[in-house]
Amino acid sequence: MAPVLGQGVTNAPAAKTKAVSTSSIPTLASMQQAVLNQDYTIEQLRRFKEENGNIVTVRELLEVDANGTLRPDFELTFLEVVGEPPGSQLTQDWQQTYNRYGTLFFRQGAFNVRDLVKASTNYSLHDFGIVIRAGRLARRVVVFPNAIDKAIWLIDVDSLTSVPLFIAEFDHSLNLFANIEAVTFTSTVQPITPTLPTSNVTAMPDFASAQTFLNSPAGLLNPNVMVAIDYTLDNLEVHDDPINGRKKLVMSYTDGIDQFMIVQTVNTVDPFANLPSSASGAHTIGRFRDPAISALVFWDDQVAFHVAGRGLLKRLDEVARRVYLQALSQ
Amino acid sequence: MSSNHSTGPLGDGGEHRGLRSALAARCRFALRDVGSDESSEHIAKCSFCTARTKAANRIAKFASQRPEVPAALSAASMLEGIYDRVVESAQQVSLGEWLQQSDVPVPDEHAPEVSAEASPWADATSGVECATGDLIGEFLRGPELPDVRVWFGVRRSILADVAHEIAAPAKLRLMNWRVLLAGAAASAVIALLAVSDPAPVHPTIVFTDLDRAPDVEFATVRYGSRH
Repeated sequence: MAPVLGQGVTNAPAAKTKAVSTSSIPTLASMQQAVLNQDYTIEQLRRFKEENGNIVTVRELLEVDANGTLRPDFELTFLEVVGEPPGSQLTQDWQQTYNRYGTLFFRQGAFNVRDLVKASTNYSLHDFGIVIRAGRLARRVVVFPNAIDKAIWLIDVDSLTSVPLFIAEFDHSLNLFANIEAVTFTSTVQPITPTLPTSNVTAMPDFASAQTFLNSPAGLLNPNVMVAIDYTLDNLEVHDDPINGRKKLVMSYTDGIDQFMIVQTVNTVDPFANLPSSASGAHTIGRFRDPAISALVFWDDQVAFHVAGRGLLKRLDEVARRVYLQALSQ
Repeated sequence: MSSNHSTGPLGDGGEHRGLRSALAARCRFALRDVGSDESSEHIAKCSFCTARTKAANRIAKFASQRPEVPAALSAASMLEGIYDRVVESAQQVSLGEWLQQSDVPVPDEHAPEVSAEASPWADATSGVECATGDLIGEFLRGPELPDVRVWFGVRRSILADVAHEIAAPAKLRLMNWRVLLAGAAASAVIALLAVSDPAPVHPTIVFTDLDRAPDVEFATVRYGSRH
């Protein structure tokens, strides 16, 4: 199975720093420190709740090579769909999905302390005692958001390395939406040698650089998201879609733990051109919302905009509206 | 001299609302108390009061003479007829209601007829001293009318009110036109300002709910493979 490789912004050789063992109660700071410094290899089960409500369990192998930054080098390898025979159509679909989106599964599909200061402001951590996970001593903690429109996280943190061994994401009604469970864990990693080109994802330091990289298309804009005041820009990348070759600017915003994305895909046609509301001069924002996801799409001047985040984050409606107004005013 | 006032059920002489005395207050006071020094001083100065006083003196000679009451008026049937008419007319007004509610004993209709000589009306009749029989008949038959001068005053008052009401709508119409003109002028000024400084028109944004999550990266992160 072809692994998915992810490399940090610096692309520097991995810093093989041993983490200091601790049996104390984990904190947000210790978990972020593990991202910066801890190498590990973990075989885990990642459970997805599909749109039709079915649960699909995928076995994967994650190798993380810490590089002193919050974006460590990693390799994510799809192993199997639990209960599916190898080579089945479903297995092939999932393999292709991991090939295309594996980076997103690691960066955005798990619990990450992306900004310690904001995370400490917007969340609180509560310890619930000692558990055994993947044959290792761990402490169970719950991370509560200070706002009702964000997820609640239950995490079994390895007592020795502060690496999460079990992650469960709940909404405010305690409905489970995502789950990752470690099966085996080792605190070492084999050197990661990229065998697949990573040119389809290019990290950008700022919007101006991304705009220049994309040849300054007319409809591209630097979104104003002041309405989501507890979120700030976390990451900015240009993706080359390997399927259709379209370039898109992916901007991720975080409140320290949670994330939402604004994606601008250039050189697209208006998907809402034939709607009756468009004929009357109105501008349309397509909206999908369920407990798992809030997704809003709109179009202006050859650029398709996607605003997406967790289902509870209903304020994304206002984010989308304001970004659309910003686009129309350009 | 006929009275200018109508009496209420209690005989308190209360005035009808809206009637104004044709006499000035000083004249009224003077004519009421003719013998006093103050009144004499006023009468000497006021030509109207002087004439009224002279006329009153001329009539007083006749008013002091009491003519004989005609025999027909002394008949019991005559008096009883008067009595019945008075009672009937009084029953239909508030006087009748007052009498019914009062403690005054109602005469017994079935009591034996009393002779005219013993009739209590005999004393009352002898007490009534009128200048002429015509005056008594007029008092009993005709309704009490206010003085003509009083009615002139009432008429002037009503006409003045009507004239005021007719004038008020005209004033109101004039005021409405002024308000409309002022509003039109203000609208014109505002329109000119608006033309010279056009306000931005906000585009209309409509949310359309989708029945399936769009093909966005985050949907794949949440749902996984989308087949």
